[in-house]
Amino acid sequence: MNFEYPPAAEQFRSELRQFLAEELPEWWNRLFVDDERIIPFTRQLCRKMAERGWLTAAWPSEHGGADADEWMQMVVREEMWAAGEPRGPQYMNLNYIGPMVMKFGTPEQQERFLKPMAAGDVIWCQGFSEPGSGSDLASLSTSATDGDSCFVVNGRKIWISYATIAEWCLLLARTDPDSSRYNGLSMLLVDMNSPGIDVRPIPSMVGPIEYNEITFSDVEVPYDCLLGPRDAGWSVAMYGLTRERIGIAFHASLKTVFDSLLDYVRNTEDSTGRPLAERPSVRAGLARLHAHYRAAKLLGYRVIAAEEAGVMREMDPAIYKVFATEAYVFASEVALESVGTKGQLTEEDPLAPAAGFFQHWLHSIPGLIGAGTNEIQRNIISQRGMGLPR
Amino acid sequence: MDLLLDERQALAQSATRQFLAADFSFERARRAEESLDGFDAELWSRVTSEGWNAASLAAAAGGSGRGLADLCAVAEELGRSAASTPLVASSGLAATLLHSVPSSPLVDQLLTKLSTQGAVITAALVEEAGRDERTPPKLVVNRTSGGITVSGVKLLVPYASAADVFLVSLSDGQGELVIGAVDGAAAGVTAMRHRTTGGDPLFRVQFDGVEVPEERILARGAAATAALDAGLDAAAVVAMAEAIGYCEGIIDLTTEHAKSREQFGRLIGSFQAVSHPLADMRIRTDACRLLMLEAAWLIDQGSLATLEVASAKAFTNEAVARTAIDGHRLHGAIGYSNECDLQLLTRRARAFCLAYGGTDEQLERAATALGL
Repeated sequence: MNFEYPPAAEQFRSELRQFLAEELPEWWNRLFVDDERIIPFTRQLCRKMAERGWLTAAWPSEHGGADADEWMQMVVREEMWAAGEPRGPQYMNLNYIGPMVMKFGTPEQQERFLKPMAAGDVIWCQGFSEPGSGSDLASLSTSATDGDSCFVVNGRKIWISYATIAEWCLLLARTDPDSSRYNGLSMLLVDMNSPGIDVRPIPSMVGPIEYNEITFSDVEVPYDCLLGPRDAGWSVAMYGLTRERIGIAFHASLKTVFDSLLDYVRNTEDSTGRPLAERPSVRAGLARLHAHYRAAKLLGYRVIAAEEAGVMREMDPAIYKVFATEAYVFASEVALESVGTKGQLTEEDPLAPAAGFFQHWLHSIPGLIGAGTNEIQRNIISQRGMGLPR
Repeated sequence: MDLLLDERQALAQSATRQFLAADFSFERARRAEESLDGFDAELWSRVTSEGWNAASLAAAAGGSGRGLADLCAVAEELGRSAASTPLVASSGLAATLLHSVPSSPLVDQLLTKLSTQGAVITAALVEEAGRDERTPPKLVVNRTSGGITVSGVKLLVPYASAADVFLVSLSDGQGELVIGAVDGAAAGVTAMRHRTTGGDPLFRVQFDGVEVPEERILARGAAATAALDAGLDAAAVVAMAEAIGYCEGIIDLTTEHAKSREQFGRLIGSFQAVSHPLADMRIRTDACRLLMLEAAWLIDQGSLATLEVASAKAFTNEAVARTAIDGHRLHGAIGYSNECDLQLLTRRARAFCLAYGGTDEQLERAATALGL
């Protein structure tokens, strides 16, 4: 047993922090903000990270990585989320889309798709959910039928992050028209510039381009863009989703809230002129958050440790995802309550007290939903992990 | 970084589980609870013969020098069966306290007795006028020519009837803490068992002019305060491990119930109103275990772990209380019948939340440790 973070990875953490301190512009706040400078900046930052070998450090060298371990990768994840994720949408490539191509792709696909990811040159989006298929993903109906030497895709995908700017889409579609549920699905790699793709942004409370609907109308997808076995794409998708669940360092976002709140209560008085730091409920709130932060972090670390030891349970990533996303919501709520009435002001308002607590609250909500809702995670934990009947 | 139990710890844990499964059913916990002194001497002798009680003690003191984390691995398994032993009081609190006071022949002797003879050493801290274990004692020492005498009452003393030695917190009359070692067989000591919700043996101990020779004063002032603090932190961590065991027991029983009980023509475990709270119990208990192991590991590294212990204890208190109630909700009425084993675990679990630092106390300690 050893709770010390690997010293080499900690050394790397300081280098990464230094790098971010130099690279992040004055105006940078976080990824999910309505500002057209953001995406070009994230592309530029990813290329710089790639040049240093940091972007895909944990990938094998044959795929453009540096054979670093998962602890190094966790450092990248934590530092990036603590800084508002300046890698932009490309975090998805590194966490699960790339690894899916590594596990299921042909040598040609690996050569073609992994290189640009490792170079920080490509944005992918994920086309899983449909208007009628959310938590019940296996009910999806987007079809990929056989055309003249290619698949022909028809259907609608929804809640697709970054679809307006993505060059490629990881698409789960039904390739066997007579199939149902988990059978007959296939994973396709779709060029977003293909004719017949229409992207409609869905304005939401978490940002203007964050969510989109994609309509596929007779979109031709070459056969060599099938990832993994035909009609058996469900297991390919599950492999990706399991990785996606630990792909976002929610505990690092939580820590950002905790640090800002600690700073805020030390420098602010309550309505009676007493320092907020002396108020019992505020003190208790921060103490609780500290335990939640450590528990979330350790649950994430345990996934890595268990994977390294070959004893990872299927429910371990789900346990991290549920606990960490709910702890992040809790943190933003404790922070908002500590701020009081001025907490209503958004960070664009110069009079907003502790910047960003409301935004953290907004951005904590998709965490409860994405990569499988927390209710679906609880199904995974109780049914697959604890053996309860369906 | 390796957050899993190492081979040795896992082995100790599975060995504990095996012998408990073979010989120590819930029935045994019931009998211990209903017995006069609540002390299962046979179980304790099994624990001590394996040397598990001495896992946190250095080899020089007759221990294995493995650390608190090893002790916790065993404590969790004992908790799973609602088995009550002096592990928290003796191997957690007393051993750590004795390790932390200035060394002396008596201290060495006590540690050796504790580790090699399975002696029960228990701390007498809580007073009628005080709130909890950390409240400065009012019991004042009376100086005599050869040392001191002690007269007064201590409450909630674990395993007093089986105690070889009491570690008693006292006041020197000028606001300084004094810790004295009182022989369990000394004249003037009487122990009377409390009625407690948890059912584990806690006693009211009366000291009537008990003589404590000078060499049995273990520490005074800052040294005494630091040693008591270290002891209470260790006790909290071992108690957390036991409580995580209670939760595992509650999860086992509740899962079994949900997989076998039918209502509305279905197994109730297929209702998400049942399965999701069970998933939450799993999540919470896993979180508690990592916080507990982190705290144990930090203490084993010799680090100051006030923040980690205090916030972990508060978190675990809240999580354990919730798991106990959810266990009852999902069991329905059968859960509170005496015939059901659930109530053995849940009463013990709820009592844990109050001992060695209740939630309010530990949150406040954690906030202070955060610099607030």
